[in-house]
Amino acid sequence: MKQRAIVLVVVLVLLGGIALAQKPALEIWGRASFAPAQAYWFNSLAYEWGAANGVDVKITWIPVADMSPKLATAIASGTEPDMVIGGYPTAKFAEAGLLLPLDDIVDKIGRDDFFEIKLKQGTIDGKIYSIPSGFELSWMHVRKDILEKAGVLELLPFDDEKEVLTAAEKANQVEPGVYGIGLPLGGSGADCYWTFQIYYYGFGGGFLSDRSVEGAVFGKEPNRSIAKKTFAFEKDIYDRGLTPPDSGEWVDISNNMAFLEGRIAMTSNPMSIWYAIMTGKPDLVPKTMIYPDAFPIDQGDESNFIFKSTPYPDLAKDLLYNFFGNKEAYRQGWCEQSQLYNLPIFKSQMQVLSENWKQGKYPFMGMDPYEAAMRTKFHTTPMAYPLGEASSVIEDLCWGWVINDMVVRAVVKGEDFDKVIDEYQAKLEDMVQEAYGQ
Amino acid sequence: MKSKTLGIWAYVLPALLILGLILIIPLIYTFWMSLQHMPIGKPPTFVGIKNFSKIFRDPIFYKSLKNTFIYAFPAVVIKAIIGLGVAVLLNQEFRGRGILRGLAILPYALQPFVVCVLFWFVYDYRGIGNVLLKTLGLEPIHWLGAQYAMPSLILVNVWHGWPFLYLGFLSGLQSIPGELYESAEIDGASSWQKFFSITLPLLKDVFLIVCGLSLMWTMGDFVIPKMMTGGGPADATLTIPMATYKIAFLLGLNYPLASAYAVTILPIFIILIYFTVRSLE
Repeated sequence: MKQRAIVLVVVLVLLGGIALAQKPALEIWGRASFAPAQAYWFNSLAYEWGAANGVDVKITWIPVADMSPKLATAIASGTEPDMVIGGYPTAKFAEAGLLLPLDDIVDKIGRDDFFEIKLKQGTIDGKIYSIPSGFELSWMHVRKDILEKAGVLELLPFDDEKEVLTAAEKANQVEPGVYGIGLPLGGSGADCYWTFQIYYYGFGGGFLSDRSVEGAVFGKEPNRSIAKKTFAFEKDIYDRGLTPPDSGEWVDISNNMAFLEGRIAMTSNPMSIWYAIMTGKPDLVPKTMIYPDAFPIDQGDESNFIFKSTPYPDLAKDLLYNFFGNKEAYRQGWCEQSQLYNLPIFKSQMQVLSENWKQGKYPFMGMDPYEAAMRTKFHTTPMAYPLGEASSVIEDLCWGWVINDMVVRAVVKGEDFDKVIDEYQAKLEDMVQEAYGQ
Repeated sequence: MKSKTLGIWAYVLPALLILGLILIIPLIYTFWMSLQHMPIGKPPTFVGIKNFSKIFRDPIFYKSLKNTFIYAFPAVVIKAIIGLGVAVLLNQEFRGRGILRGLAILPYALQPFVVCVLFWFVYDYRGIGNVLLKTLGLEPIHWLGAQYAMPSLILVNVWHGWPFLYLGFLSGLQSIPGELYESAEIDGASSWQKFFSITLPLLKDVFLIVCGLSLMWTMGDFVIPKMMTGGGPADATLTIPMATYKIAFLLGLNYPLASAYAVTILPIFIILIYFTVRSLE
């Protein structure tokens, strides 16, 4: 009997020891970008942090297209990770009450140092639920040699759509086979909707004024007229052949390819085209310049967030703080290693890049990056205008290709603008009703 | 006798269990899910047939249903014609037949996503497709533009899928006794008469099976619409599988509604399965 009791005690002590020795574990999913250096930097940061804090960190990098479906199924089955790096959608999860508010982390990092637009994109009803990984404004990539030959180089940076149009007209076929501009109008690519947003928002248009059916304003004045103006602007370029004839079916990579192949004189894009030039097309380096768009739009929707379901909210927040807390390391590790495809979300770090630019470190940039960031007044997904906060409805409009369908119908197929606007206003109202029930 | 029956069931039981696990349970779960309302991150609540009434009021459903038929039926008909033609040709005795039989199944041996990547290049405005059209004296077209997207997708499906029907027809042709043709020849039957009076009637069962299976697979094809057009442009190639994916993972993350889409189209598949299985008996 005594022996049995001793064995029992020993077993209990061993089990207790195992339980005590078990480290807390953080499951992290990251969105794999095309700049692997970012993932390497975050891996080393997270593993070092885990080792220092006795946390077992598990990181899985997921391809861009799989992120949303994988997160959605994980949530439905209750197996979501603790934390996401560079993930989406954020508004949908935040509105569903699945995410931890991060205002305390933002304050700890220094709220005033964030570019306001970068905080707004994670804000729902005044609370911040996600912190974006980077600032990714749209740059007009231009072929300096062609624009010079066309005599429009001095128009850069473009201040409005008229200058864009003038440059596209004059540069068109200056070199045989080279189109004035590459305008993505295909139904199955993100470039189509954010290009529409550049001009639609730039002209003062919006989709949502508040989270109600009444707040669905796309078809109401002045937005209706602004939408028609935007369609007309894009249709003019398409109909007159200033953009390649196949741009009505372009996907995301198509304008990149057209620029790299020398088929277009200019195109708007985040810095992924410049990244491709730097890493694989050196002959274009001296011929290419980038300037912020006439109405630059931020496309840095990849955001970092923590699920409420995590058993370790404080640890997850601490790791997130470590991502951004050392701003210098973030700028070097995350932004500069991506060849500035991701610019910093902090003013202080953008100032560093600004100093570098002034010293001639980025000769391809036609404008001081700080100034370019300050010119950027709009964000693509999930920001709703004129609401000024994130909304899941905008995520659906963009990622469900709803805006794309509208552009294809109005611009490529040439359907009546008012008819298209009426249909999409009704669709928007349905989506708002579905999302907010009012 | 009783123990023999039990023995047979003992052999069949593991297969039934696996079938139940991977088919019956998900099917029941999908049906159950189609009757729920489940905002993301919230537990499901029973809403009866609300999702179905929403579907039947939604023009997108009818468009995607129509697109599914437009995609599947012509594709299967063309695949059957090509498959039968090639099978008849390669059923003849001639030198090099073995190599040609092997080559014929190459498109089917490729994974659908590889086929899609190949066709991205074919359908590029400056790609092989338009080069071919120009060679024929025709104007280049926007293969994946709103006007031609559906025929272009059908072409990809046909290119990839015809060898399956060819294989079925070839095995069917090989099972037709040669004596039948010899007797017909003695009676003075022409090639066409032999084809219509012997080949086709005796291939009827094979025809129903392979066409039934091909129709089911083509209607349920997800990879080609997803990779080639994503259902666009402007829903021109939005088939039911693509619409279901869009609802589940892109728009609203609405699993119950996506499940209702799947359940709604299920009767069509059950009818197809019924006829396919019946032709197997």
